[in-house]
Amino acid sequence: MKRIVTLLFVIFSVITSAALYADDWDEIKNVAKDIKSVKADFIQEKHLKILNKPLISKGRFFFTAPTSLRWEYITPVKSILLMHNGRVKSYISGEKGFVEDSRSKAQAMGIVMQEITSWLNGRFHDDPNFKADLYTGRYDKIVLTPKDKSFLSIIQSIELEISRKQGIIKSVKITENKDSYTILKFSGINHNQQIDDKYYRDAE
Amino acid sequence: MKKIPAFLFIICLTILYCKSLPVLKPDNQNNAEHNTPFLKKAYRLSHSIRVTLPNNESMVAIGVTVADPEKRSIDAVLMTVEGLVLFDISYREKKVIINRSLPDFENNNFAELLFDDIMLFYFVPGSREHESGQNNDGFVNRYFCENNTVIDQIAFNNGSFEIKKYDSGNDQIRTVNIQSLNKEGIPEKAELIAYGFFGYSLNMELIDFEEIQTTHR
Repeated sequence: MKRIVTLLFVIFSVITSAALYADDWDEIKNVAKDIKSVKADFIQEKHLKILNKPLISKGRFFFTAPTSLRWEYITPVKSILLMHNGRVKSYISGEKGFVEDSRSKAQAMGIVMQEITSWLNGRFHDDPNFKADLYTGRYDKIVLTPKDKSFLSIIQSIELEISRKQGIIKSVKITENKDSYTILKFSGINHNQQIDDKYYRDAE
Repeated sequence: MKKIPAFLFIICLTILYCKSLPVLKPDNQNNAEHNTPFLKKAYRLSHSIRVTLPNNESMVAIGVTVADPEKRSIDAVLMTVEGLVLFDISYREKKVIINRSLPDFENNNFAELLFDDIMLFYFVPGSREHESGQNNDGFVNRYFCENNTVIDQIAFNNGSFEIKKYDSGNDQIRTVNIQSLNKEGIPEKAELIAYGFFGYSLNMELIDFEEIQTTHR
């Protein structure tokens, strides 16, 4: 379970930290330093061989530097991951509102705090867990591949498509294998706006 | 010494939870046989699934199932809400095939247990003998299955259903509560409770469904 949670948070960290365009890795680090907050909606498409059309989830996320994060799914399943002041909580929607998810999951999330900090500082290139490649073209793309072979069997790559014109991430593609991948598309992206701490403290 | 009372307590709990097979009265109008929640055609189904473990820990996942009652075949994928696939397994001709699995789930017994639960939920039990009747609960289809297990499917007057599975000692080991069926006869909300020392529950809610002609693989 810890490994799953680690992977999820690595993915979240990539999304929240690489929100602006940069020409090279040094510039990415510099750009990341300027990100104080990010707020956006997302649509998640899950593609599987068993499905003839992708399974669609919708949600929103909030991030405030250095390590406050709210990753919230609104449909089809309401769930929230919160990270604030070194504490990590996971909530799922129950009959009586949101209830805290399993303790082990939240504890495991705490372990990946150091990993997150690394991504938030824009340190794609010197991350010990992922090899990062930057491709330029119509859209610029950062491709991350796990260095650890056991990780590779779970996630083959994470691709971030970046719009040079708008200076934002257009989408993230997380490939598990040829039959299973997830695409996250972002909209309504706002940078460096004031976000109330309550979004990181409470599920409601 | 402290372990003895705890052990007795667990036995008492187990006895309390395990209900025995009830006696059926005749059902002259065959009400039971015409009223079942099982799938009649092959479907692709997506569910949200809340899993609650014995220590009250819970997690929510999304399940996609292709279930073909005629072939008695199943393809099932369970993933996190974030989309990470935990396992991808198939059941063909009574054989479990693990297509993909994360390390925490790569256990054949776990997969077999899961298919037992899915089949209990979707398929008319594969039985060597079947009888119908009624008891205080409602109209009952009783199936005598492999390994001397018995499955009761009960239809209530209010449109809800219950499926109860008993082990070879006639102790109840599973209950499925189905609140209602949609227009196509597919359960919209259901709860599966597994009794015993390692009991758990699954609360399932239908997200999407689609009739299919044949299994996709």
